[in-house]
Amino acid sequence: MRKRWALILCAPGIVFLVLCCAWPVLRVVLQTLYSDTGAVSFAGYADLFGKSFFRNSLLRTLRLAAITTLVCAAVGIPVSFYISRMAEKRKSLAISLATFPLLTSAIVRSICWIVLLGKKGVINNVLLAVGLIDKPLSILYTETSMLIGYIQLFMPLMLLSLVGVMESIDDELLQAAQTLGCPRILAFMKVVVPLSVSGLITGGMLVFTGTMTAYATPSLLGGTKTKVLSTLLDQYANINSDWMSASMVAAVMIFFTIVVNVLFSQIAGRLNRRQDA
Amino acid sequence: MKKNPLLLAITILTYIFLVGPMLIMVGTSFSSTAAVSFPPTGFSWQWYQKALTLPSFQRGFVTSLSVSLIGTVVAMLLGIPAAYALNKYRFKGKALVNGFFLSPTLVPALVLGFALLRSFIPRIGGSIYIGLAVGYTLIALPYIIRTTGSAMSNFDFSIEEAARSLGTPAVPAFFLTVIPNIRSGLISAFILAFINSFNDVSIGVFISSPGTMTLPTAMQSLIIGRLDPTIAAASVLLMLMTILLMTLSEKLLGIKLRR
Amino acid sequence: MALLELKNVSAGYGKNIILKDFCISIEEGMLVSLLGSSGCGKTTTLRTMAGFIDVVDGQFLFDGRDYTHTPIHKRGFGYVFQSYALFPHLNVFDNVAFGLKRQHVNRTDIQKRVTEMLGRVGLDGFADRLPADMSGGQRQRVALARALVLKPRVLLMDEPLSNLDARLRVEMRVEIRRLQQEMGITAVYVTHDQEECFSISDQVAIMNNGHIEQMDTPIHIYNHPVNEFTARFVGFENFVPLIREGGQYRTASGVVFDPDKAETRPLKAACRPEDLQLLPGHEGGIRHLEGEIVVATFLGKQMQYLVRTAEGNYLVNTAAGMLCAPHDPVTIFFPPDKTIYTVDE
Repeated sequence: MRKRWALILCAPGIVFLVLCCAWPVLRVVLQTLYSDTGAVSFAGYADLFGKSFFRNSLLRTLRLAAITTLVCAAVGIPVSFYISRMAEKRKSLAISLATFPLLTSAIVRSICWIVLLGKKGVINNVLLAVGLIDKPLSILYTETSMLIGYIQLFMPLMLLSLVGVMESIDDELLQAAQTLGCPRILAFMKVVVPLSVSGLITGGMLVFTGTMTAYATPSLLGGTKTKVLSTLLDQYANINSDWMSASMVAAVMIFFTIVVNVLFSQIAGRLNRRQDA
Repeated sequence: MKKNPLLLAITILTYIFLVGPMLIMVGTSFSSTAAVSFPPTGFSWQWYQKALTLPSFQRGFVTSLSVSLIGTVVAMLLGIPAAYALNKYRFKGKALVNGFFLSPTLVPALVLGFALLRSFIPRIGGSIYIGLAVGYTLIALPYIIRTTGSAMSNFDFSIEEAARSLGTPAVPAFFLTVIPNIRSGLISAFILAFINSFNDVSIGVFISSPGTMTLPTAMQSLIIGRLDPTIAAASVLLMLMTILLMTLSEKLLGIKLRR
Repeated sequence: MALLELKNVSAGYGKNIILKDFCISIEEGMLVSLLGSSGCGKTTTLRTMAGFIDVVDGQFLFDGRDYTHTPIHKRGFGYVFQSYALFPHLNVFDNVAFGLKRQHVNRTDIQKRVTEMLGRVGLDGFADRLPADMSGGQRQRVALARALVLKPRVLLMDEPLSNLDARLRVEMRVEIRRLQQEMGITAVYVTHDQEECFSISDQVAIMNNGHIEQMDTPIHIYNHPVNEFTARFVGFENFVPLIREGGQYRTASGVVFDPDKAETRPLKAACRPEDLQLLPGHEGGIRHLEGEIVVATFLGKQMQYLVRTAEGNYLVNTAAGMLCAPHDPVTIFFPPDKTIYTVDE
């Protein structure tokens, strides 16, 4: 009886997901495994991974995602701690200010950086006017500008994940560490950081997968020499009309998203077990 | 609690990094010349006028608004019953079903758009509009399941059983007990899912045609041409929309939008 | 010379100053309790000594040295928190070893000292447990061990027993007293439980509104509270206001009391319910109040009567043998050796 109700209630969603998500995605992925003759073959992938252009894009994607995650964590830990200790009203404002960028389109936030970093952008204008440089810097359309964009895009996710965890760390734990001989900074490293690991993992997973799959930022702030997987997929499909290569890039993106998800949740699971045991 | 000046400095710098660029863009949107500059030279509303009257932006706005709304509503219609079943009943394969409902998060939105373009849209007669709506439903569905699910996990189902025992049939009992108690969770899930869809760039990268494209896609195709303050003005208008939704939901509904 | 001394200290949280011009001095080797209701400043005093609170004005001396602005981690005082504040991510061994590692004690010594300390607090075999898997009493012992393993000269305790049930509280307070005496530590103990603090302290400071009302040995405070506030804290419940009239102290209705105090201000006579004597019928005389029974309550070993007199209602406890019913006429007698007099402020 209960089972039938559960089935009836879940059925519309399941049908929708099968028809509109699972099947189309699987079809795209499966197509990449068949050669022209219809036999299962990895020749396409061998070909793709043989191109240094693709390999560089893949490595760049993972490298930029890793750097973004590390920077967000390194800055996020102290900032989130500071926010978590604010008085209620100020904390609420700080959280709203971190939420606001999240609720703003990635395209809007990328445009901000074009305005700032471009050859005729604000930073170059100011530096030229002050006389610090005599010809405009090329920051835009490099990995640097992409990183800046990614970090601004995903920092709020790290902050919000960490603040939630740090709020529940009692100040008395820090004071206890101090009475046992730790200076404040060391007490923070020994107590707050290990107790924030779960937030760090949640935030890290969101930032890493977000950076890996973001489209607006690399397409607006990156250049032709700094392709990542998402812009490569766009190029193969929309410009080259090379559907086979595009499908393979899409499959690679799914593969790495799943791998990162599994890795992060394994780490989280192991840590949880250690805390529960 | 002693305040550490170094922490304060890092926090302020981080917030300047997060919000500052947006403020500068607000400044450039009032420029009286076509060059993007800051501090702005002169003052004019002309770029706002242009952004509001540009046909591709107008069409993009209507498209984005309607497909986001349709996608969010459909996701709620599909997601709320499922979240209810997943929270109330214990059944074999529950973890599997739950995992399946969250599986779209494992597919990057860009890839989802690509798969829909390749394998779904041709089957439904090539309608870009329906393709967009389906895409946004898929993005919103896991989110709705998760947020309404966590709202329901705090709900005491014996309240619903009490209504049943007082003679209320199953469906009215659901609407009289469960829905009112998770109301604010539902509303904030709706608003957030809508904002996410409206802001999304990735789905529209592949699912677009000259006549039907989302606002972010329309904006992007304009930037590729050239960068003038029109695009800054349009961005400011979108930010205003976000601020409006955030304050309205907080002041009128008492709901703080948090992700 | 005092080991711990607060001299005219003002301290509090931000603009909320709780201690004003506060003084206390604590001798070496003593266990001194700070007793008072919530908000009286007892925890603030303790936290000021620990360094958790900035001193706005005045001085804190430790062993004659100025410790007013010494950072927390350089004070070397043990502190036991009300919540225990055990590190949830570390097991019992690592919790206790935390401070030793900071002092760069070598590994074998850490092993030895932690194991020995755990034995002393009765936690042999618990080294690998996480705090979450322990009972309140066990956590309390870990908190004590963590502070004591560093052999501090001073141990500060903030309501350490308030989260335990009644039986464990008695057991642990004996334990705390034993450890404090064995190790020769000077201890400051904050509590709101009168019985608890009288049973373990060398000295008790009764605090009210950010200052000390009375500081003395438990016995002296019990028998000679200096004012109505401390008298109420140690069980005096019946207060009779007296006015001086013609060289004698009398109640409003004219009953004579005879305080052995050279005093002219208005006084209050006070006596504990169990020390009052209840006489059947009406009987006038010095320190005799006539009245009638209002409520009789059976307390087991004793009967408690609420008696209405011309001066007000008073509580009298008598041996259960003596039975009175409501409306019975009775007389309350204040025995001279059990009656104290406080200045009526």
